[in-house]
Amino acid sequence: MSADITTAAAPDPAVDEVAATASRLREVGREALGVSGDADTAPFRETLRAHRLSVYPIVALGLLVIVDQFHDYAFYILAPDISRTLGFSKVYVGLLASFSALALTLAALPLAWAVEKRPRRALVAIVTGITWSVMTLLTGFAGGLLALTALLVVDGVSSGSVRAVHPPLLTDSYPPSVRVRVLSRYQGLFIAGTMASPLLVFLLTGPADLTWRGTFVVLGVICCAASLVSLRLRDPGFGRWDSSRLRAAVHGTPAGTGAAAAAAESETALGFFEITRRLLLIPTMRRVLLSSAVLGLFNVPLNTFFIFFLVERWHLDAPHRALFFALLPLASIALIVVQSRYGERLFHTNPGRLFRFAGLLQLIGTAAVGLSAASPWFAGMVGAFAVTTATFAALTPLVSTGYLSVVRPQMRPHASALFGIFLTGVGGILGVLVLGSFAQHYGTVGALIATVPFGMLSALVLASTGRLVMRDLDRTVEELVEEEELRVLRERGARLPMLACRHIDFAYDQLQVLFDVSFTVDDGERVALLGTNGAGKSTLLRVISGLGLPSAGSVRFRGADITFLDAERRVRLGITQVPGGRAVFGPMTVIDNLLVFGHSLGRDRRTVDRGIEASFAAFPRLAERRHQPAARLSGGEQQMLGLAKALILRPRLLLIDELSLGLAPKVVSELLGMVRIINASGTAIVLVEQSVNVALSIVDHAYFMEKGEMRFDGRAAELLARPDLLRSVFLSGAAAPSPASNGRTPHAVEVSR
Amino acid sequence: MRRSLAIIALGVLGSALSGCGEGYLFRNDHRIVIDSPGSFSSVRQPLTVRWTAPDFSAPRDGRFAVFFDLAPPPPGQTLGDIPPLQKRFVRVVDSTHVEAPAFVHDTSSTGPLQDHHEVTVILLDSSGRRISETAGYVEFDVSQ
Repeated sequence: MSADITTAAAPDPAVDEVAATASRLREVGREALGVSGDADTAPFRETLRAHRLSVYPIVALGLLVIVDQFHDYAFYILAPDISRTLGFSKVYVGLLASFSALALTLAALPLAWAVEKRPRRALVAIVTGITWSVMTLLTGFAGGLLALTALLVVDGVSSGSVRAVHPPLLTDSYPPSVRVRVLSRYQGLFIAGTMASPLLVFLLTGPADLTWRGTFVVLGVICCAASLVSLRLRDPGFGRWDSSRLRAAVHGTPAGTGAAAAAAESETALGFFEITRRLLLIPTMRRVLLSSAVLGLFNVPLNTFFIFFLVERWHLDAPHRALFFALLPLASIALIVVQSRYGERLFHTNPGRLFRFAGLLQLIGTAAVGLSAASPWFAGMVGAFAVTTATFAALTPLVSTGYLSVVRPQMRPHASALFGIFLTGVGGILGVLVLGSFAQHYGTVGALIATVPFGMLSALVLASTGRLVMRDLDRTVEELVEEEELRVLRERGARLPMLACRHIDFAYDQLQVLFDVSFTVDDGERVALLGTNGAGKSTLLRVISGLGLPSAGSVRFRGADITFLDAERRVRLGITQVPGGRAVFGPMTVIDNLLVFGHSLGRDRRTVDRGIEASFAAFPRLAERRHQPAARLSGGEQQMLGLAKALILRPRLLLIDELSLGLAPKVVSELLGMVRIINASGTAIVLVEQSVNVALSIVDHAYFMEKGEMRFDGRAAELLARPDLLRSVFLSGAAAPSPASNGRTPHAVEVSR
Repeated sequence: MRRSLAIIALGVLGSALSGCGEGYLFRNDHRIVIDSPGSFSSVRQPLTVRWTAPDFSAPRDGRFAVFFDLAPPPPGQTLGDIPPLQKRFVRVVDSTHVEAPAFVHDTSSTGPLQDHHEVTVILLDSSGRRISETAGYVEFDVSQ
């Protein structure tokens, strides 16, 4: 079978059918993820009734997020009393608050790690809820600075679950058709907590006349009671309402994974850092994080500076300031109630519109900061700041729904944690620096007005996410559809290729070098990857071996998705690359190089020794020079040493980059003999070459690349009949020697077999 | 592993909270009430702080320690650990009034905090150790 990829074929019914099926599946997938294209939204309660769902998860998690704020508010308000009792200065109060905030910010990622393999988000939410409740209670019995530090840090760490676990758990507990409203209700309860917390502290310290100890004990008891309400929380499983339904929709059969598929998936399931890196490669996610880092400036730091503004400009005393901040959230709750259904409609129609609306809200909120700072009337100042508070509060559920929809369910806790880190960690710190610096030069009013351009820029970034989100959503759909197709094929007993790269795009920063490249290798196959210098051959090898991560497309090894798997894990799966040029550690001896190859897999010494003996048997010259530094070997000997890696690691797939570069024909012939021997033991070979005669002399299957695109995929013999392609190798080689070849002229292309 | 971590965490907390409940004040006892300056009032210098402590008679029951812009020691401890430079912000008296040190305009902070101050009155026993968590406390601003 061969395919000339450059010449467009005549209209083919089969191709049309594939395109139509892909389009249908994309539509089905979009709908499963909540993007129906329809602006109609069924009433909230009606939808829950239709799916036999209750509001319990919202109430339980909402109660937890309300009481989570008790400890922080009580500590901030009662810090002077605590410092007077325990005998430490205000400096320590600030330090303790920073420890707690740091613990809260950083704990979100480890908590995401804790739930990435198994859906136990409900359990984590319950345990952390009970933990911070007990910490609140115990704070009332703190005997000294050490105890208080421990309590604050544990409280901060457990509160990390609010970021990492709550939104993903809610997202998976309800169908996509109500998610904006679910997250909006949760956000409303969070804001209710910001009102309830200071009010409770006031009631307990004022009318109830309790000390800070008594206040913490009572708050702790309330927290414990609220935590008990959450005991019935159950994790619905990853993607119950979206990805699972999408999988089922692909073939109209219930989704599931057989034992073989599950085993394959566990072997290639992404780990914590791989997931985090994967998320940072999603354009929507990157824009949201960038925007949130600036939005964070308006989070905590703005409120702090606004307190000074109220004192300096409007001479508000403490009770009036408390009243101001206690009543302000009412505007937030009102806006959230009003906009949640509208946001839902936008999401159903097109998530891009949701982001544009969120950007607009942020723009309005930012402008209102400037207005409130400049307003000559008190009422005008209050009204404008209420708009700011309300719009920023209303943003969170919209943005969360948007970015969580383009992220695989298992990765949502990580995405949510990253969002929190950028919002409060990066944004908070930047906010303090920016506002502090402006306040020093232009006063508090000047600092508030100076935030406006930053906020507007961030709003534009957020709105611009609208252009990316549908593409990312479709990519998520395509990944899920592809996985489901493969699952079905696997269950039918179909044979899958050893390696399948599909529609790979790759860029070095802004420079795209691979365009929609597809590439397949079967078990035990010998494949040549040919092309002009700079065609993208080595880059494709990097994508396969994990040294480069594609911006689009997938890499599958025996059907399992390894697109974002770490390079060292691919080595363990059986993918080994012999890089182009001198693939050895020059200062190390030959035997040390071989030991390094073996120990990179953590293999036992006996296996490594056997591999080294096999290498020496295959390449006697290496045995003679075993104690010489690799840098002193000739070019051919260094390539032999590189190939010896394959004899030690015994990969299933060996990727060889530029085997013949700068070597004498006799040496090349010797190396090719060894490649044949390696292949004969069952290892599939991908040979990247500029030298066509070298490559085609040992392979059956050839690919030809030009300018980052695949131009030919077929039998090697058929490529020989394509002078139009092969000529480009001649011309390129003659006109511009490869930089990698150190100015040497590439081999003469005398095609013969 | 997780069980070990839990045991360690409980151990740390247990040791940190050891002695809990002993002399802890959960409800305000109002044994010391500061009469002047008023809470969040604006005052002029020189300033005299006055308080009442109906059930505490000095020197029979002990003495009063007054802290200006300084945190007092925890219950059971003496004033011995206060650095010499900060001792000028502490007064130990038998009477229920004391003259405050001269407050200077604080240029290291910004805005309204530059002239904001606080005073804390605690009880000491005859050996100079702090008695219970009882404290009288007030914040005020000094008009320059």
